[in-house]
Amino acid sequence: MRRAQNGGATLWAIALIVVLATGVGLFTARSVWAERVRNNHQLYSAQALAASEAGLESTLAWLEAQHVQQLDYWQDANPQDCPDATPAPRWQCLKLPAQTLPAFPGADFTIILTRDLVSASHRVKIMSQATLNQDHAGQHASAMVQQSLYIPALAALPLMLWRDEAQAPLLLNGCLSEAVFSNHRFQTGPQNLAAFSLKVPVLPPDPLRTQTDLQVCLALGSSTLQSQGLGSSVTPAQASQANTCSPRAWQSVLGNMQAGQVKALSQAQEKNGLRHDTSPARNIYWVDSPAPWSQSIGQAQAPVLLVFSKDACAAICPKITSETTIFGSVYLDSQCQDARMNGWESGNITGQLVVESGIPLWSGTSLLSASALSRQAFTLAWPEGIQADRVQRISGSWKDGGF
Amino acid sequence: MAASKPKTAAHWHQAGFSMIEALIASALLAVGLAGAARLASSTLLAGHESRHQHLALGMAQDILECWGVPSAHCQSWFPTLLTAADGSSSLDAQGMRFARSWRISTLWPSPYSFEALPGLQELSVRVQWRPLNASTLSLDALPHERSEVTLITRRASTPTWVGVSLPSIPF
Repeated sequence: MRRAQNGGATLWAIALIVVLATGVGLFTARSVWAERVRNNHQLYSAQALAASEAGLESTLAWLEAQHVQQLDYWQDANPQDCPDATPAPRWQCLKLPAQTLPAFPGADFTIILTRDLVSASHRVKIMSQATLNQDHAGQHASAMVQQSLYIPALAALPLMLWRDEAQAPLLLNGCLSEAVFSNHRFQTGPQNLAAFSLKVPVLPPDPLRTQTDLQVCLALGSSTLQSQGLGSSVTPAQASQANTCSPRAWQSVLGNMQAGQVKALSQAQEKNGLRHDTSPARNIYWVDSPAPWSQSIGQAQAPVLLVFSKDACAAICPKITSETTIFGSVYLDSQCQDARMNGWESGNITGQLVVESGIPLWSGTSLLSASALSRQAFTLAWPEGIQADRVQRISGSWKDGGF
Repeated sequence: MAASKPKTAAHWHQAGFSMIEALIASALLAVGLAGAARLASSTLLAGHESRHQHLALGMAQDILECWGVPSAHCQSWFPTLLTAADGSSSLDAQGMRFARSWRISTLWPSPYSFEALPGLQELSVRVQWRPLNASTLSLDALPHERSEVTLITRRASTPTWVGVSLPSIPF
């Protein structure tokens, strides 16, 4: 009986050793299995990261091609595609359709472009997410990278723009009738800016204009302004007759910005839901309609750019009704035709009035005041010396991470 | 005598049980040890595979990160960025031979006519490994996919910063 018991103990001992050895082995196997899984995840993660980087780079190349061909790809922007951190209407968001970029083996891209339409429309952030698909062993693994870049939305202003004429409250590509030039129409702003400047570099073509007219035009601003104690005007030493109309007023204030850029940005703001009463408010307005303008826009700390295009000024430039107040810069493309500004009314403008011709008769109870912030709506933060007419990456903006 | 019969029977019974018991125990032990040995073997193999895969991934990432970097080391791998190109190299480590091969292809040309650099390129890197003493040199005949790591990425020619030439400013 004792031997039987000894045999049972041996059996149980052996069984126990086997069970224990199996347990230890299983735990070791499990550990190694976990290590393998971790290694595989690391591999899939690296592959997803490389894929998301590929998506980002593909988007960069695509964007560059869009700008070279001058295609307005933002037309397909949809506020619903905006991440929570960058909501509309301030932010414009564009989700690229899957077929936009070359197909990537084993991964699907989700590409979202965002930009601040109010204060930094020239900076775009690309968020590229890649998810490994069913063609890949690491299905569902995903990674994301993001990078910001400059796009030619509104071109950088040349340094030479920061001269007197660029900041002048009144800037004409022509002459102003002295008959209507009175001190109640102009006043210095709260910042007590330097005086008004009249810029008459080269007068627009006018076969009826005589040399005497030129001298009168040139003498006009200085004497009147100085007599009113408002400062001095700036005119060239000599004026000459031009054979063609050159948009010198536009170039003096807006530099190498293109009309198409301003118009596209205006349309983008409108489509994205920005209005004069939203927060933030819309700050770029492009007007093609000849109808009188009666909407007060802009604020002292948030000025606007209001552009009446050559279409709006086709016959005569739209008037700004007398009860209307505008903070910011107003530009009228009167195409060097003084007649299109004849009898023009300006309402109250605090900032800058830029006209691509003279104003033969300025009527109504208009008031023009200076403001140091008038150019804020279209003065974007560009690095000094940058060539702003092509797409380029913003150094140090690459980031690995989620939305 | 009558009383000793059950003792004898019990004795024989106990001795037989011990033999069977020993056999069963041995069998159990053999099965258990065989399983444990196989488990240890496969665990060892899996550990090696993981280590090789980890090493191969590092090698592939090495190539990826070197793409476009203007260092002498990287330029020895990518002597020209203008055209599609293939390349390869091999490295022996941990008793294995790792073979790297990469291919650069142009997906889109540059949108600018004045630029020779393609607008979008794709780089595909493949790292395969096999034992150093393997008889075959063909890396395409590897037994399973775990002996291969592939990474693919792309690069646009978009610059980081483009400056304009400014007129000299008199001081």
